[in-house]
Amino acid sequence: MNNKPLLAAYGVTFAYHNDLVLDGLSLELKKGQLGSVLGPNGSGKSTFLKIISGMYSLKGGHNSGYIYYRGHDFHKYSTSERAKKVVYVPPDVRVEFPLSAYEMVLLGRLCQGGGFFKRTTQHDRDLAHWAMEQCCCWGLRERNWSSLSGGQKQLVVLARALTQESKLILLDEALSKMDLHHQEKIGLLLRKLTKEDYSFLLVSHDINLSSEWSDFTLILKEGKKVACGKTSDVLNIETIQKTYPGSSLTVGKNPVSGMPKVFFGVKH
Amino acid sequence: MSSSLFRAYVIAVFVWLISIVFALNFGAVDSPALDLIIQLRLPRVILASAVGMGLAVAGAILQALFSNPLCEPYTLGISSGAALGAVLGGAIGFQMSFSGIAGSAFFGSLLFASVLYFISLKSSNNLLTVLLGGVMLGFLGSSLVALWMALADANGIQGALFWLLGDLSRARMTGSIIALIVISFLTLMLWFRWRDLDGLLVGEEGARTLGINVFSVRRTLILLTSLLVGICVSAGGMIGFVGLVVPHFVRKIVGSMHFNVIPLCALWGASTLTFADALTRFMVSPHELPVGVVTALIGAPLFLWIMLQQKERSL
Amino acid sequence: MKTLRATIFLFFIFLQLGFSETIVDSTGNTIALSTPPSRIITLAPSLSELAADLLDDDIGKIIGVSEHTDYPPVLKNVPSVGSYVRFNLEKIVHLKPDLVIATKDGNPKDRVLHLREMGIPVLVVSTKNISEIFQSIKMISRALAVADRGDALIRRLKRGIDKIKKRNLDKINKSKKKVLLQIGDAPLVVVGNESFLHDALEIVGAENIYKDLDSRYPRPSLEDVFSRNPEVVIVLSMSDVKDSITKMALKWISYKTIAAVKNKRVHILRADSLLRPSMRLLEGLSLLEKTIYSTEEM
Repeated sequence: MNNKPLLAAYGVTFAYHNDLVLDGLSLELKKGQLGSVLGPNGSGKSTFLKIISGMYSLKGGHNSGYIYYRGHDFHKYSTSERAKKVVYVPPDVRVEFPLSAYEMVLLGRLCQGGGFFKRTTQHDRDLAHWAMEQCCCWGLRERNWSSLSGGQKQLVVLARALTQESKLILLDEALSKMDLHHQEKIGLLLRKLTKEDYSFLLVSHDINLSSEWSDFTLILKEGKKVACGKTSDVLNIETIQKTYPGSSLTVGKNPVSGMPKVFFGVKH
Repeated sequence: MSSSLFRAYVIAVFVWLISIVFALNFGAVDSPALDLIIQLRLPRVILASAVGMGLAVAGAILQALFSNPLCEPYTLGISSGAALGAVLGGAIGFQMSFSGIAGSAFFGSLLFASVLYFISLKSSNNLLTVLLGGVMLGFLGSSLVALWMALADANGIQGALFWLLGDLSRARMTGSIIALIVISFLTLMLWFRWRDLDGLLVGEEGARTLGINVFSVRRTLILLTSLLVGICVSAGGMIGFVGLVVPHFVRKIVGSMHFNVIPLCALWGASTLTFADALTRFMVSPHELPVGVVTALIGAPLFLWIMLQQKERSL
Repeated sequence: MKTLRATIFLFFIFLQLGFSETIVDSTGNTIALSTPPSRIITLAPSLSELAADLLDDDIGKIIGVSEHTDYPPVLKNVPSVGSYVRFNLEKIVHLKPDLVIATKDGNPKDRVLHLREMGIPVLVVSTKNISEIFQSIKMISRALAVADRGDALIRRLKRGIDKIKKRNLDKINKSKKKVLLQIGDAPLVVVGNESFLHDALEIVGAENIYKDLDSRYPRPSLEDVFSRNPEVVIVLSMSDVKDSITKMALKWISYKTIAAVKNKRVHILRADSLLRPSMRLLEGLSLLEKTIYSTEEM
């Protein structure tokens, strides 16, 4: 049972305006796993995530591949059903109107539907409270969205994702603006949640963020797989050189957690 | 309901009632007979409330739809369709009877609304296309109106001009009540969609991640809003600023959640236009200002103030 | 003595009872009056003048007029109900009239209909040409219960007009002047064949260069005026505003290829007398005649 992947992508090939962005990518995410997708800028990581979430469709000329959720074709579900099963967390959210952080978090409850008069229930409010506490942003709840910093906004958006009550969350550069302290807190939170059967897929250009927290890593370059597997196996000098030819980055270890770490490797 | 929200509603209803009393008591004539009030002023008050409500709600919806606080009911060009229908109806000879002109104006707005709906069907991926389509329709409509005005007889133009600037003086009891019922109905249908509208606050892509089926929601909203704008413009001509400014102020009071924004926009829109219409009647009596002029004179400075506030925020 | 008074009283009652007018106006609408109206509102200065003329001593029955009503001068004290293109409904209803007189040329149809819907009798006249003017005088005089005065006025007008026509009969073939009647500028607004002013030109033996255009006040291009080459240009002013009218007339100076300009035949004419269907009409026609056919220069 635990061997069947919760979410799987097979042979995903995607072209955007005749440019090949992804070429035959596959990935499997099991329950309780935190996976990473790494790669240089423009390697197609974000696109891959959006396809998995259903935001981009695989229909059309040069596209092919399948996305399966618990064995079913994920793209066949409606938008609201997809939102209840898989939550996609964007890197930033732009709002043109007055909105408080708390209201932003509550927006996660919209996909639950309901009648005209069913507004926020106590359950919704409890969930929002819990989510914001977990994401270290409960203190920001009264603040106007536009007054928050980039990192604070990302904490709130993550809290919103948690209220969508799905245990499968796709994070698209969703920690990129947080300071190191919060990245650590959120990283710990994600690991804690995986023990409660949450699964995450994290896309990041920050290798060390991914390498620290993920169970397995997929490295992409120009839409093609460079390597995929257990993080500590995959992140080594060879793959770094394959991904960034001629770079002087070196790979070491975090002395506390033992997870791989990439360092700048030039004495200056 | 929190107490401040409750207070907001009470104030809104109160102001609306005051505006009605004001409009019924003030006009071109001091101490009028009850008959005059019922026959002439009451239909106007009903129509002003209905159209004000419709325009304010339409403005709020369009701002949410395009994630743009500068949108207003005329953004999509529907009003130009109504104007075109009205002047052509006048030319053909419907000759300015309330249902005649309003009817042909509504047909014009329906025609443009259908074109716009068709555009929104075809451009499922691109909201910008819909916006541009609407703007182009607007230009087309106004140019055709200008063409007609250049060719037509001077007398016909006078009447059309007043209508174009916003004119609630045609209000008759039956027509006003019908307008009120239809506009209320459309407002309710839009209010029911508060979830979809709230989702759109984070933009179209964001709304999708929240589970909103943006394509179908967008089509429905455009359809309902076009009908709403069509009716408002057919009944009262081009009355500006209500749809732009009222939603802004309402959001400042209660935030952006549409469950409250829509009814409060309806109430404040109704009050605003009822007041404005009353002002047109007794400011330069026995002359009447077109109500669109009054809303512009009040609305433009208010709008500038809003713009300056936005600037401060983005700095 | 008592019986005499009673008889006279009864006689007057009879007269009143005897009054029952049903008039079909120019919109095809039937106005039924069971008593002579005594609270009359007129919605155009020309109508006020006519009604005043017909009512004579009973001019006090006019209780409301449109703006800019200044003839006869006593009407300046009567309350105004707004401009004739946008008269004020509230003011009219408040005055409780038993007859409102409107004109097709200028009063907005929708407002007139609105008045009718409120149960106010509205008599609508049309003054596109001379025969319609006579018709309106007939209709209005009947409605005001002074039919005989109306007929007398029509007879006097007809005589006067015929006299002017006879004077200018010889010009029909020989020296008929081609005239441009201008009533507005930027854009240029002239008189077409659906205005009474066109008839006025014909009466004084002149030719309206726009007699072929079936509209009241067409707006031709300047080029078109050049091609029709009027011999006389008359700028009509409906009010006292001197400067703008003079400017309008002076604008023609630079177009020296037009016959009228070459021969210095551009004139300004105060027109309100021309637009009133009263005895002043004859004054206006004579003035027009003199302007075209005398050797006055600009």
